[in-house]
Amino acid sequence: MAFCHNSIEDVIFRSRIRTAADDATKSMSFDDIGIENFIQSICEMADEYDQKCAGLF
Amino acid sequence: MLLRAMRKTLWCQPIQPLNNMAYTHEAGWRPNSGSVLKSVGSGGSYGAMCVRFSDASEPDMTGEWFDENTDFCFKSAEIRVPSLFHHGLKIANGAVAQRFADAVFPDATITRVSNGLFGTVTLSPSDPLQSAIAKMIEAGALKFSSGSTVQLARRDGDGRITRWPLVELSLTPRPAEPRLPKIRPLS
Repeated sequence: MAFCHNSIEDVIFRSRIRTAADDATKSMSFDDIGIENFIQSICEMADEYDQKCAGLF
Repeated sequence: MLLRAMRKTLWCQPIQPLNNMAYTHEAGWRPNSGSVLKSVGSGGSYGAMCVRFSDASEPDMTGEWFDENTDFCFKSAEIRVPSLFHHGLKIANGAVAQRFADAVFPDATITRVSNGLFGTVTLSPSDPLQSAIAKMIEAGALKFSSGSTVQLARRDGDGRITRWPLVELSLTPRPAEPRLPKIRPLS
């Protein structure tokens, strides 16, 4: 819930990256960048975290 | 001839006036072409609690907590901040994880509610990364996590966060406050 960035410049810098990142993704196909595998790994990560935290509260 | 036929089709459509300002079609109305709206992927508006007020007896995984007196420095009833995936940190190995870490997603809207803060984000189905985030949300994998900066945030010695001006709102499978609800589609 609480995460502290090193500086607000960090966030502003990332906002400048946005256009370049968007342009890059539009030129690649969905499969090329392996997003489906990433989605699956995030879902597994979330399940593991939920199980770990369920025993703490 | 074709134009006349089209006009006839349009004029024949049943239209009900509504408050003299708009109209609504009758129940069961279908477009003439029989076409359907094209779907290009997951997307839409999603929301959930992003900050949960608690106390010293219920700290988050980092031993800190927000309460009703935490100053979020709202200048209006709602604020808008950029949204990130997992605070812009690389959550796994590989180029795809780096791409998600580097991306800045559409602004999230944050409003204060009685027991915390509520976040809303709208994701475009036409953007591959946004659509992927939407799929993760619809799979029940993501929660919100708020982000501030070291020069703006203030904490008491016991872990109470006294000032937390939000600079970003992250979507993550591993929030510091796991008791937050999952992000869900908003109807």
